Amino acid sequence: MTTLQVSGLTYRFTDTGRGCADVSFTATSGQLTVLTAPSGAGKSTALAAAAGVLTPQAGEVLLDGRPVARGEAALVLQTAQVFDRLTAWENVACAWGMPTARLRDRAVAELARYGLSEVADSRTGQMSGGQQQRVAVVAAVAQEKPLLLVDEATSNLDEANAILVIETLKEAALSRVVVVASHDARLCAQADSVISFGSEVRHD
Amino acid sequence: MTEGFPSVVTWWRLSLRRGFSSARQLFSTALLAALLVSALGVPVFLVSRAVSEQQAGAGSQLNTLRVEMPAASADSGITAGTLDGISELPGVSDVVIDLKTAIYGAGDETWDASLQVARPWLLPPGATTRHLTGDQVIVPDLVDGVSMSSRVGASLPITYTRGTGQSTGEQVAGEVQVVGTYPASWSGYGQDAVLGCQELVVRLYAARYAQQPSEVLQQSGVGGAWVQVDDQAHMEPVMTTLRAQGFDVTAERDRLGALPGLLASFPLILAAVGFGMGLLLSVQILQSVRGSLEQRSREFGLLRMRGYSVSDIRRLVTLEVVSSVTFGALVGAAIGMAVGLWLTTALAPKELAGPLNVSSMLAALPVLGLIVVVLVGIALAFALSATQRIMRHDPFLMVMRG
Repeated sequence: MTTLQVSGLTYRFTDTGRGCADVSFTATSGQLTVLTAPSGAGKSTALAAAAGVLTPQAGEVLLDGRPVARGEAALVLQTAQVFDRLTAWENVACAWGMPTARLRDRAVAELARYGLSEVADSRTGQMSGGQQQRVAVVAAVAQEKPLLLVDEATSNLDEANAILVIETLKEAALSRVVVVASHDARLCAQADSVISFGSEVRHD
Repeated sequence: MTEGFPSVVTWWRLSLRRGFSSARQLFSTALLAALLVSALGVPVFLVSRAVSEQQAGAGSQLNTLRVEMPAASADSGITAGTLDGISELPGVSDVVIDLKTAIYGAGDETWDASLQVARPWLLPPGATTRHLTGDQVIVPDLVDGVSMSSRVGASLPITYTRGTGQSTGEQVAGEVQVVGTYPASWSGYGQDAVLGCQELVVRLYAARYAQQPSEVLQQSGVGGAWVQVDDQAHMEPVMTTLRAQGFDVTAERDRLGALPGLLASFPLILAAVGFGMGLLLSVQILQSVRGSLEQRSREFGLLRMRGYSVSDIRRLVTLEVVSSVTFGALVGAAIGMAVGLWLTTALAPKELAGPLNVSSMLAALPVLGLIVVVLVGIALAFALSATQRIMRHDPFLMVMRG
């Protein structure tokens, strides 16, 4: 079992002062963890800092008791999900290296598992927001990193596709730590652990 | 095999292959910049050098004086003694008589040409023989539609007029040795000019007027002579002296009208235009780098999410900028130099045809190579400075905040 321990995590943007402050939670592999917080409380910032993309100004993020190393976390943000000049299968294949024909079958198989085989050769820039979101989740899962952090995983999806993504994340959670920031009641209902933080929006 | 997200170099290759890199835009901007600057820079350099050669040394046509006996003069023409006197004046480096006579094709060939005394300081383009002797001549490669190119190194049958009385003559056969040809389009001596040594021209001229060759220079004299002066500083003193001796003197630079001024201003004009263009294109490079990076900020943000550090992104951008701009500038400079050489030969005044020959252009290649290096350096400096400025901020933050 892998454990993610976040304590006192703080990151504030220097110009606006917004961000997340003093966020603490624990998540383990084998269960789907959902973070909920009011809008503006800094869920996305907390995920980016937990993933190590942003360097927190305070607090620590430990994976099995040691700091998260670069490249150990897969992150999907709501504002940027896929490389829109690449096809769906290329976005997935990037998890393993240069997306050449050698990796195509493997990537298409991953997409097919989540009902996306028909768009495998389409450029993601030409896809709907919902399709992009699903491809992004599949690509993140394909990275097989010990830590998967997803921001608003179901925000653009209809009922059927939301269920597909939730199933995908639950399956991924069996082998790694999965933390999803979301307001989606469907997701919260399926989560093994729901953590709330930041009851107030902090502005300095 | 280690699996993982593509490295910086791999991602660069992928972006090139999929056409979402900024390479094409940067390449074309750098190519255009280098092409325009070198297309103008090459003529500036070559013409400046040619003008410098024209005006500084004894090999300058602009340092040439045309000397004639006044029409009303009771004296005979310019004789050998007079020529000797002129050649001894301080600052005079060479004196050549201005004498012409007609020669014609022999047999079925119906061409006619003007045989003239070659001036060592005004050799046709490509001429390798500076001093002609005996029956040696340099001919245009085409005379009255007859090609002379195949005659080099061979004897050329000619006919010329031999005077038999006061105003009568006959055509007699002779031959000359062709030692070289020059492009018929070059008109340094006028159209269809066959160039020979003084003895040859005097001999055929004397025959036309039923004289002995010695009579021409010793007694009757010739109508005019070309005087070559060491440099511009000696022009006025030599002219003053010759006028004082009763000659009509015309500086070749005056006969050429505004040409010297034009020659001097030609490189300046091109340099000014080149500088302006270079400035505009430098700004264009800056904007091109900025625009292409801004367009890709979302991609860079995603790369950060996939594990790239800010310095990885900077390395990616630098790799792309350096390779595209270097390649573009090299290609542009190569094309620009070719265009510049063409511009130089096509537009430069014919009086510069001598200094602007192929060998002088080849000799300029190292300098032209330096121009390319400088161009690439300038383009890179601009591109990298723009890159540094734009990449000060983490692209992930831009993406995250929408």
